[in-house]
Amino acid sequence: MSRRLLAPGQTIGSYSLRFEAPEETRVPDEPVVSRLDEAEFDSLEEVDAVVRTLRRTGIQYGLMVVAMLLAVPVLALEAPWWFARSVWGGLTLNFITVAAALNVAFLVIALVHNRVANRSEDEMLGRLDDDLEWDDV
Amino acid sequence: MMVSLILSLAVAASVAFAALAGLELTSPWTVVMVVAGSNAGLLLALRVRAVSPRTGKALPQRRMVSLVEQTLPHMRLGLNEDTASRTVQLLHDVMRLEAVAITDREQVLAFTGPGTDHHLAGDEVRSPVVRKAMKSNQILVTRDSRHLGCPPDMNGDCPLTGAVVAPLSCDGHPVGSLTVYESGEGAVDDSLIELTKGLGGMLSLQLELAQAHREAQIAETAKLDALRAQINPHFLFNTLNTISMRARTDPEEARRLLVRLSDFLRYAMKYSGHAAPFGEEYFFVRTYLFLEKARFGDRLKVRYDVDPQCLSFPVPVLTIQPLVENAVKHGIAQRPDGGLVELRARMEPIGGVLRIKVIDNGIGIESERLSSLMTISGGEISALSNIYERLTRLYGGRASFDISSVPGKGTNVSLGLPMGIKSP
Amino acid sequence: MSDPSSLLATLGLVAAMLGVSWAVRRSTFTTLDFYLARRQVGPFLNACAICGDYLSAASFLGVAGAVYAAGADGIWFATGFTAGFIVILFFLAAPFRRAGQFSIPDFLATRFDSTRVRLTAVCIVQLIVLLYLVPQLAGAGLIWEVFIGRGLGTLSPYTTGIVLSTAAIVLQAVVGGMKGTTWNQALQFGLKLFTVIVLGLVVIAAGFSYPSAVEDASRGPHTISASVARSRLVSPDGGPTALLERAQSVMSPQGYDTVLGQLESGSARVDLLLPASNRMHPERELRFVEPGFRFTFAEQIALIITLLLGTAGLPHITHRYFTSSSGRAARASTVWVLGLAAIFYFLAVLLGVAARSELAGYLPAGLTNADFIDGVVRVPEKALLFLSVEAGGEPLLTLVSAAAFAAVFSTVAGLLIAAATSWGRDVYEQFINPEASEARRVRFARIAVSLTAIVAASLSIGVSVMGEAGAPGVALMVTWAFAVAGSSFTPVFLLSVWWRRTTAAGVLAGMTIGAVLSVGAISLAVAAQQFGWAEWMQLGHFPSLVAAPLAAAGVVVLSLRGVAPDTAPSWRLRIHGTAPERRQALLIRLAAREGKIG
Repeated sequence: MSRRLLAPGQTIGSYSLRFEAPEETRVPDEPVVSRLDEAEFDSLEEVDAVVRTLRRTGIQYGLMVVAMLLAVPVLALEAPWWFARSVWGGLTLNFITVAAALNVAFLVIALVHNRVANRSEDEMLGRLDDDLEWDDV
Repeated sequence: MMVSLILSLAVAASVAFAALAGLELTSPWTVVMVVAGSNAGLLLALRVRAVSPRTGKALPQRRMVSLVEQTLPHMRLGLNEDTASRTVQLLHDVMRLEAVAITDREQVLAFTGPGTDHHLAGDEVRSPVVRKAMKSNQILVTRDSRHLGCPPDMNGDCPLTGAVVAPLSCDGHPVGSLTVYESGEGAVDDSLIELTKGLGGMLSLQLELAQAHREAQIAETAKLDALRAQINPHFLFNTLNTISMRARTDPEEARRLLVRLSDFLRYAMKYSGHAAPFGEEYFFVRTYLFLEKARFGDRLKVRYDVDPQCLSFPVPVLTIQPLVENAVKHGIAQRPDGGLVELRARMEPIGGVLRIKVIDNGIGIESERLSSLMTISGGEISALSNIYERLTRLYGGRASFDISSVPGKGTNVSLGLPMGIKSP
Repeated sequence: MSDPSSLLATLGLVAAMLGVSWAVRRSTFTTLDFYLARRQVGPFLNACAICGDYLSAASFLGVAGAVYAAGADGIWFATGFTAGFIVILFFLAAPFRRAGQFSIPDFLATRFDSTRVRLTAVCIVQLIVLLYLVPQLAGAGLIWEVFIGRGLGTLSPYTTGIVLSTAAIVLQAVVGGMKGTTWNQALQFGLKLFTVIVLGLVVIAAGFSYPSAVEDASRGPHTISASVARSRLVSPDGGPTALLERAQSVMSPQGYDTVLGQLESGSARVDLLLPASNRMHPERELRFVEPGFRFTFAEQIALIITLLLGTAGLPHITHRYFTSSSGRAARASTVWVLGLAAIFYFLAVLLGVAARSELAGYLPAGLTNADFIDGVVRVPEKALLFLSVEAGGEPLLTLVSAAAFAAVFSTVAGLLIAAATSWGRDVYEQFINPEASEARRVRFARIAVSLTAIVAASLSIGVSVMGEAGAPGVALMVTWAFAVAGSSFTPVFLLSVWWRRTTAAGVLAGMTIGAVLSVGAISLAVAAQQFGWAEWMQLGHFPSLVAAPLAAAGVVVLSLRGVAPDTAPSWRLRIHGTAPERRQALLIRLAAREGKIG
């Protein structure tokens, strides 16, 4: 089998490495070499599984966030040590929480959720990432 | 111990002799003298060893070898009443022991010798010495006839006067014990202790060999089974058939099926270690079900319900797909209007156990077949029992495996896998 | 404060914005390019642009002003604004991107294959845009008042600010299209962040310490400025009423003297400070650090929920998600936004506190004039501006004003583009002329944008946002937009994306219920404030707690009665599947490998 040097844009066999300009379509998605359609696809059951998983995860984390948010006014109503006692200079726990701590907590929760969501999508959709040969596509 | 004592005495004697003879300690003659002396000592020691004061007769090596040969076929089958009784008989006959007993962790498996009337097979282990020997994995000796495990109402009528207990262990864990008794005027002396220790070691070794053999056999069967199932000609034939039919009507779908089939086969071949993350096993299951769904069409409905924390949890390879395959083949395929197969995976919050359920609403399994599925009959091992065996081996009994089924309604297979697969 | 140099600086900023827009303009200009910046925006850049969009005048001046005026209660605006992104991250970021539409009405209409849904959505989008625009432009007017202080011709400074800002914005949006706006917004966010950092540093260098500042501000009772009729201050026998005495207890001696002077000179109404009542714990005296100035317990809860749900429904925010390069990038952007917004708001709140504790120290004791009452700023939104000029002089005021204008410009631009997209795609292309060429669509969009801006400008000129206590502040008016968005769009989005049985009828019901209830509640609250009706009606300012669940119920009930659309499965594949992203990655990998072979 003879090997030729490939220039960018040159075709090999039936594949083209040149990106095609998108048409003005309703769903403007990136162009795809058609063989990739068969290599990477989703089945409805797999997608439904991910939906189930992410929905449940989102609701769990979401309820956690809502609980955290609503706990603050509740404490502000009931607990003097929360809103009336200074813990650092003039700052009360209530003040510190609303001004800074809640945002930090949200950021942490967001990072964790992002990782879980990405992980779930990676593992529950698509193929195993063994080194695919060109022929495998 | 005797050997080392005699040997050291011999060496010392030869050095002293050389010194007396006026030789320098570093001269070659001294070396020759010491070597000669130690050889003599060694021969003497071995001779002493071989002459057992017990019987007064020399135990030929041939007899030891024959013992090993004769006990192995029994011990190889594992430790149970049957094998134990044959073994104690052998030991009693070949080694001319007064009385011998073998127990497992809980009860006496076999006993032979004077006192068989009240030391019965099936009794629970009463002797505190035996219990302690198993617990601490050490050889223990007793010369007190009260500690021999006679039933409480015996009141000293037992002819046995002492015993040496050697634990039988497998993989470092005690699984039973070997007790050699003395009766009448016989003394529990060092040679008896050495003998029991040797016999205990021999039996333990045989048990370990048997276990290793079984495990290899199971693994081999598993491999073969899996290979058979996965490269099951029927499955391949059906799938390829589906693909070829599809190629005419929907070529793109046919190509997709081919891609998935190649994924499937590649995973089935890939055997790295004993465990894989659950995510990969899930990949295998969904690939399999995608192929089956192409064949069955709407008759097969599929549902997955997976918690994301389960995905990296290690599970034994190729344990889940066979369960799903069972559900499809025996549950849904037999049903004309088809059904639903569901795979559920959840982490149990307390205990860190992964609970996997394969649920189908197929024709179900009758209860008689259910119990037979779980046992090994003869040499044949079914897929389910193979998985059960593997789980027992890999988790040491900490994993759970439940099947419940209502004929006509469906089947529910539930696995509970803890952390920490034992590396076999 | 009408230094020519400040004027030049502002003009320079506007020129820079236009310049950047021009520079990144492409010669071939398709609708796609215009609306979606060619999908070349990376997650961090997109996040900066989202922040630029999101951190409006309400965030910048409004939050600091809210904290200045209301103490602990005011911080909730900041926290609530940020928290809304959590909802987007968890449920909407990736699905929106994968859906592949251009706008909210487009998304809903394609999902449910219904023109009625599209129309309803368009109406609500325009409503939200208006509600959001008005406070922005009002903010622009306020800044102009402080910063320039002069009006054009016969127009008041306030009005001038609005008019000029609107003109600049329309020009920029129309010339540059979306991409210009994306880059601009990222830059403007940079400017805003830079400004608050600088201002914070200046204030800290001047001796600010967060704990002791709060302590200082909380030393005495918290005050509220009021304009009170003479009759309530002077009793018939000529002596002071109890009310006047209470004012005396919280005002400085010089300030009180001014009040007495006003009474003696015969004014009908007098401006003074009164101790604020504690709406959460009536038995306690209210301090700066304690909650209760603005909100009762119920109102706090309602506010939190309203803000939490509102962000996900804002058209200019959701619009940005359609430009991410992939679903994962959309999620990553959102996480970035949370981080950036958290930093920004932390500083904004800090500055609000600093204004309260430090500003009075810069002013002559008891200063009472057009802007102040006894050292307290009349219009809280101006507090940040006054702090900057007192702490750092004209240069700092210039910077802060520029940043504040940037806040206004960027948000307004984003809003107008969202509105324009809606007009162009959802109205013109769908109903008026489906065969229209690119150029005509773009032209229509430009006209629509300009009209929207003019309407908003007129409204903001008409609305009085400043001066009297009790008038809605900028932050509150923005909350109205959040309320409508969170009640009518957010429940509908959540159910459309995560529930397979949602139908067009359900969505219609949900949007309508949400919009009607929220608008109704807000009107009720505003009227109640004007006419002095019952106290509990103030809850109407934050209607999402009630309106959103009812809207969701509407969606569910009507969807269950109908049949799910046939397209539902393919939609699920599209919205939640990652196949296109994987193909993209595969293509890149294989192309790279190809480059190595041979």
